[in-house]
Amino acid sequence: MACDCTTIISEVIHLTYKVKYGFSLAEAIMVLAISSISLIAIMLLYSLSIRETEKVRIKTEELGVISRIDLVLQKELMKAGPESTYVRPVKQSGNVVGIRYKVDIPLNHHDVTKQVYFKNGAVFVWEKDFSVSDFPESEINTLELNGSRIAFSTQQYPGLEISFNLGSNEIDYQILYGRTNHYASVNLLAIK
Amino acid sequence: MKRIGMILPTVLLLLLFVSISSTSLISFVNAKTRDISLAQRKLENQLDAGNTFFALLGYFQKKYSDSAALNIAAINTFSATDTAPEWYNSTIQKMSDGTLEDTYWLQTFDQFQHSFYLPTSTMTLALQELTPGGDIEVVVRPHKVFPNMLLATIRVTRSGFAESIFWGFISPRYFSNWAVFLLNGISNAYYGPGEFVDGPSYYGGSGIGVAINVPPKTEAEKEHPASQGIGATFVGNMMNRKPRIHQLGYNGSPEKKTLWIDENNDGVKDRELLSAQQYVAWTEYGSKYYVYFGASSSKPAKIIIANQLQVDGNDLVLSEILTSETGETLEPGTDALKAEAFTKYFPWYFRSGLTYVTDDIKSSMESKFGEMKSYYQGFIDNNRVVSSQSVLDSYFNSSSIGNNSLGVFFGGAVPTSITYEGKFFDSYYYIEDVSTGNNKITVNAINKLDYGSVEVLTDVLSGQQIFARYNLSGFDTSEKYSVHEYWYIEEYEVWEKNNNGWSRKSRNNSRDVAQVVITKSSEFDSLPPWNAKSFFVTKTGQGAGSVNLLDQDLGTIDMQHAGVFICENDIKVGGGGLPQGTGHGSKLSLVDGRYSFISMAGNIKIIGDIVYNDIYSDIQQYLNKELIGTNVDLNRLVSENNANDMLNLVAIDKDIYMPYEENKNHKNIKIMSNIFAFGNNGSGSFRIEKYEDFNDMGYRHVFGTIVAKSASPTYTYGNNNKIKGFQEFNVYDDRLYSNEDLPVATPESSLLMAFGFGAR
Repeated sequence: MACDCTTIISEVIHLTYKVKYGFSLAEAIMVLAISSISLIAIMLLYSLSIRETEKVRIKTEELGVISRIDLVLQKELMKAGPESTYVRPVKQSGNVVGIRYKVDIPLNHHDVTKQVYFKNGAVFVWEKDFSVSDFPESEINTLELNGSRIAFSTQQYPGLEISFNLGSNEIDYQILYGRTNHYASVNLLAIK
Repeated sequence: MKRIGMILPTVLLLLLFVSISSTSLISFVNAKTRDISLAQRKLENQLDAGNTFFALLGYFQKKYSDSAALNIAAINTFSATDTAPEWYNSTIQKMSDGTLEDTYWLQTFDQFQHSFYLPTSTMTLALQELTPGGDIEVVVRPHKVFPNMLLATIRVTRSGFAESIFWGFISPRYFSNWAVFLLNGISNAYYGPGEFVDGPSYYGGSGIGVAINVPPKTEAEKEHPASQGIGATFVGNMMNRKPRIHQLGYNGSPEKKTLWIDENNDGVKDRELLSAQQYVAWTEYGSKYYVYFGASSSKPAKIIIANQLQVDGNDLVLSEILTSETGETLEPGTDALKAEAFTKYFPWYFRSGLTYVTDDIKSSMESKFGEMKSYYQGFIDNNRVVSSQSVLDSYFNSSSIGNNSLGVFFGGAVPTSITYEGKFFDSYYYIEDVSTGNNKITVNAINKLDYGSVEVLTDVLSGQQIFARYNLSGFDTSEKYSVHEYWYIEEYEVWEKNNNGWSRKSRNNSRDVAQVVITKSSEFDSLPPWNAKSFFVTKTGQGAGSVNLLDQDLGTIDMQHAGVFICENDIKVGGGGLPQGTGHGSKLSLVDGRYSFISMAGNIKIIGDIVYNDIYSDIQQYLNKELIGTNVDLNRLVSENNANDMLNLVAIDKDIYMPYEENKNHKNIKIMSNIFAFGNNGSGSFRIEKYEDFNDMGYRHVFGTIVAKSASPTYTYGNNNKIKGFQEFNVYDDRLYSNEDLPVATPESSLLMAFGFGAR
């Protein structure tokens, strides 16, 4: 008959020690201390991580908003032209807050006047049938024109700021949202 | 005794809280990151699609340079299909319920053939190299009337991300795409302050210089480039072989100040740059400051561009300097560098930049001028225009002249042999004006059609007015018609047959004959070919006077045309309406429709006004008056009236000019036309004959483009500084930017152009 070694060792141990379930006071204090230290460490790391993650969250949110606006500005402004005289800054309180431009639809008697502009934390694009009078000789400072129709708008982003700078064959713009400042320019491909 | 531990559950609860909040935060960040990634990929797709378009432009330019034509059907890296790819149809579908802009794009797309050219697999692979990680698809469609104008649509996708679509048009760059094109440039003249060129311009050969006046001006004045005293200003891109500054002036009294730099933008002058500099500072929309300084008596010296500028007593304090602190030269060594510098340092004056004309561009443009003769000769040799003589044949034979002609050629008439009443007439063209009586027959035997000088009279007549002029019915009284009379000379002899047989009664006679082409105005609302009626008349009096039908019994002959009228020799045009129409009393030619008048070997002489009918009523009161200083904006009138009239005047071998005698009493002439004087052997100018002999004639207004080998002065100063000749006031027809309403046979340059961009 074969020997069951496991049973024997178990009995030996049982005979040698008398086991009581639960913690002694010293054990409890030690466990409490270690747990507290661990917990505090975890909480510190956690709050650190939360802070950093929150920063990343804010940054990504800002970048997300900026990317979306960047896409709109690039797609819209590249169509401006072909006459540089029909690409004009729109000013409010001395700041350039938008660009009014003509989109020439080739081989077609219908052209479109569009304006991309920034108002109350949102970007708008309106359109209307082109008329030379949409581009007066004087400074343009009206955000909306009679007969225009909003073709696109973003949601409102409180704190969003956009400014434009019209250069030779390009428009530079700056998008400031939260603490993220984005500079970019769009090449006016359609200008001749 | 059982003890319940609270630590473990507390820890577990905390861990659970941490896990949940961390997971949600990470999920949020992840979602936002995907969002950014999506937007960035979309932007990347958009850029890739645009880059692919311009790569195609480069590829087609090579093909165009090799074969002098942009025939997509002959390019073996593209193959045609009748069915558009699904993504293409889907894009069109999405646009159909879109914005105003989309609606108009779709109208334009409809002008393109329903043949879809797709790149072969080799071509796709080559294009794919431009967009690592992206998938590219391309569809190219040729235009229905101008087959060398292509609509290219590109789609770029990346797996899992939204598509981007980019489209644009590629076509030969017509010479009309420049407001001013001077093949040889001008060596001894320059553009001065107050002048501006309102479209793209080209100055080859000697290039051209500019004298620039820098403001300061008020904000309102700065907004408008025509503001007197600043400029010269170039609204469109200037191509210049030898750009040079003739003079840099300051509009006002420049002061001397010491230039300082404020390094940290705290309002404190940190470092002196240059002492006691005469300068002028100018700001572009209040953002950057351009400080020009150190000019000598005739030459500009240097420029500093800075983001901030303050004047502090005798100091000028700059911060955030964007150029070298010691300034950059405005005219660096080479012509190519000068072009770059002018673009960078004079952005207001070169609004769309300045491009250096390279050796390649210069020689290819010169070659293109030389090729014009064979290009237009091709229209004649390949029977793309029907000869006026053939129309006359068909007219007499009451036969059809076919429907595939682009227009009429006045030249190359070859006498033929005719047998009439038993008489063999050798080298006679036809027999007419037969009269009988007293036992004899008298005939005019036409022995030559002399197209040495074709005079074109153009006007707009109602059906009733047509009846009054030609005694022809069949034209709707309530409709308007574009009426052209092309006058030339018939030489004839008079023969008589009596009982003794035939005898010649007189020789070397001549009379004026015209081919008349009448096209209903509404025809021009659509693309060519246009239906028209033609017949022949002779004059019964002086000038436009009265006319008789060449043969009352024959009525009219149906024809189609695309507005191309080519003459072997001289063309006289302008100042000549018809008595029953609008223009006759005003020495005015009304142009209704789209036409190209081409002289192969002669001059084109402009007499009096040429005015587009669609804007005539708005400009009527300004005939004989100058437009400068008025509120008449020709482009605005074209736009508001939805005008579709346009005229090309093309002189292949010689000049386009205003003769002295016929114009000496006609002030403030209006020429609404695109001028192309290609010339050969020293010709090729757009000029005013004996301009110095005219008294003060006001302005020569050109509405269109001016393309020539060279330009000559149009006026000078006589005694007491009185102007002799015509001053110039030229307005570029904005429709030419994108080939809108372009007449058929508009000359093409050696370059391709891309225009009409859109994206989704």
